[in-house]
Amino acid sequence: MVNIRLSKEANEIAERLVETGKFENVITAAKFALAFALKNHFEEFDPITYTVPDSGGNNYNVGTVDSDGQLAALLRAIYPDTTTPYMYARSLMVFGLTKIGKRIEEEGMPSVSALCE
Amino acid sequence: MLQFTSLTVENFGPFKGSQTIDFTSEDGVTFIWGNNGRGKTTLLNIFRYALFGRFQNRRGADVDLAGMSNIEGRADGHYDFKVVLRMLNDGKRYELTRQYVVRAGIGVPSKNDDYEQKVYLKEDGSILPVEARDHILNLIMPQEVSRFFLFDGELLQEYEELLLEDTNVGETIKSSIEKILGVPVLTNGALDTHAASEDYKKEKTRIAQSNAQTQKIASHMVALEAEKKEHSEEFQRLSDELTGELEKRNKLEDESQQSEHVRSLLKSMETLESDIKEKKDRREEIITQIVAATKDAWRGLISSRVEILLVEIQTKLKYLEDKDNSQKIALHFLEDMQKAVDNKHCQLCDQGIDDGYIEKLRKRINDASTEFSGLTVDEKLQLQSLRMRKATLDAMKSSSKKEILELLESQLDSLNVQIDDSSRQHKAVREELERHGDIEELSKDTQVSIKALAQCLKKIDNLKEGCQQEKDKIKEVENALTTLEEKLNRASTDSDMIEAKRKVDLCEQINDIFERGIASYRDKLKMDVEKDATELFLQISNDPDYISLKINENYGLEMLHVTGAIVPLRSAGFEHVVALSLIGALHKNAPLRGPIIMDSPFGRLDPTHKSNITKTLPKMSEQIVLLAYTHEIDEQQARETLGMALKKEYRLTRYSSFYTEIEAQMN
Repeated sequence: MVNIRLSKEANEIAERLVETGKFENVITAAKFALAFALKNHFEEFDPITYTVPDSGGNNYNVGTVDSDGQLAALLRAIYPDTTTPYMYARSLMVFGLTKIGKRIEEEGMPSVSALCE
Repeated sequence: MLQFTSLTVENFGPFKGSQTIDFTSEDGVTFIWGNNGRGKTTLLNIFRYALFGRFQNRRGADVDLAGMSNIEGRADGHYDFKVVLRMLNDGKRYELTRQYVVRAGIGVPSKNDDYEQKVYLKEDGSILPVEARDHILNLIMPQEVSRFFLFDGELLQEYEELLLEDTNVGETIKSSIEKILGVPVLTNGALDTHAASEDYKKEKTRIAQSNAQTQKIASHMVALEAEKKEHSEEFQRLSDELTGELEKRNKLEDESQQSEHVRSLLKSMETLESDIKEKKDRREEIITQIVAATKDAWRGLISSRVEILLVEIQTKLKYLEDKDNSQKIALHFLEDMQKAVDNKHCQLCDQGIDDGYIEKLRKRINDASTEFSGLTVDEKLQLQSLRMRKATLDAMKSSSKKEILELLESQLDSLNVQIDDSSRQHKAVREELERHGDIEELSKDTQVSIKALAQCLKKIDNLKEGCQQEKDKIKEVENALTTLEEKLNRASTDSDMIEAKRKVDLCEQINDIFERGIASYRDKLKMDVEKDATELFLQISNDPDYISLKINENYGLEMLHVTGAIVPLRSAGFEHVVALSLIGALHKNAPLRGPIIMDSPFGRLDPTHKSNITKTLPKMSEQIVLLAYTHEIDEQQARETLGMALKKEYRLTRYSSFYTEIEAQMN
């Protein structure tokens, strides 16, 4: 996989996070959301069966997303059977951003530290 | 004695149309009642305008004429305005008319130049020529003494300046007091005799110059006289300039006070802008720190998950490694056992093994080989994978950014609130400033004002120094002249010189008599003023421990306590009482007699003082006109207190915001 393309909704949520001024760019926000999903929704998330709703979001080169390869190594360590860590990354990002988006809808924009709890 | 008989105002200020106040020809008090904004102060200023041709606002600045005419009148197309003041003075009837009419060709006036002023003074029905008009007006009411006839009760605290040394206001008031008391008649006489004396001295010097005995001394004296004249002229020039600068300073200080509020707003705005900038810079710093923290926050966020996975991996690893280790240990024992079977000899106990036991050992070796077979291929692969996963996950362990983000976000929120707050305040200050004018212009004007005042103060210091230097030089020259004069007198022997000396001596003696007379007159005047002011004061004051007033060199009045001590730091109320006592005493001792017109006469006085002043009014002057707001004093009580002394009452009645009607009240 050369590019990671988020869903339209996930991309919009990532952009809203960037608009708070607390995230450098969409990639940082998306990685944060990936970690958020792993921390809070690991059991419920099945990367094999999860389907990204669409590819309407922006395209991000994996070299930019994971310049040191640590993300792929992490996902392989967490999901040893995967041969497509970046597809898992994409799914986790979209899933995580969607969860954050729902929280924003319900409670308003939370602080980043509140998302770290 | 001057007495006003009526005042007619046409289309002036709030007074629409033509309205007349009739004053009685009898001695007594007229009350004109009116609430704030109804035109009381305008009426006072109308008297000033009628007598002196100037109209000033509360701050003492000249006003724009186009705005003087009545607003409703202007809407009806009437832009002219007029006052007619009718007076009696020393048996003669005067009618003074001052009016501003719009110049021909001007439709709607917008500036002072669009008006032309017309002034007429009739004496017993005949219009006087201009010079006679001005002369008569200056005689019956000189502007320099108008402060004792037309004044605002709320501004009486200026008389406190008489108690201070070397104040400009104090000097001005003192000069006015001496003028009303007639002192200038004498001082002018002294000046005239002094001038005559100087003329005779010059004549004497001229005679001495033509005499061989005294020529040298006389020439030297002529040179010194010329030098003295030069220094005197320079001193006069510097004094005049100093007077101008002192007036300028007062004006700038007044403007500064008025613009105090604007300056304060500008300063607030500046402070707020600086504060907002500082906070915004700090906010940017914090956001930069937050962005740096969120860049790696994902690592800290997954740490808990990593820990859980590591525990699982560790468990599996242990199982496989234990299994692997067990096989390695078993292999070692199995080798020894196989050797024992092969050699039919146990190395450990160094004994032979019989055949029956060998079979058992062979079976044992087979069973153990099965039991400790070690890791399968899959298990070996799994072990390798688990080790790699563990290494990766160990490397991913990272501390959470939660705490640092919490702190930074809290600081950010707090800063945002402060910035919003300051921005709101800044907006409010800006809006208020914009009501005063363009902010940049105001700022520039303020800077210019501050600079102008600083320059003016510096110039005043320089001029004072210059004046003192000139005075010192004049004194030096005068001393030299005195020495030469004595030398000249000793050297003079001819009859012309002796005659010239006699004339000079005579003039100087006359001058000396004048000076002593003036000093004696001043002392007597001060005593009389002190006595009369004390009498009035004791009738007004409600404090029995204040037993008299004591006059100083400048006609300032101190209050004396029964213990003999001067009352320090007297209240605004007593300042008012003392000032009224002084004014009353001046009226009693002045050769110039006239009415008193007082705006807000009761100021901040308590009811007792108000009542006492009301009782004392008829003693202050023959004709008193009071402009008071309703409830400034109880109207009914005032009527009862004054009794027959109350001659007329008027009320300034609001017909609309821009139209006041002067209504006579039936007594």
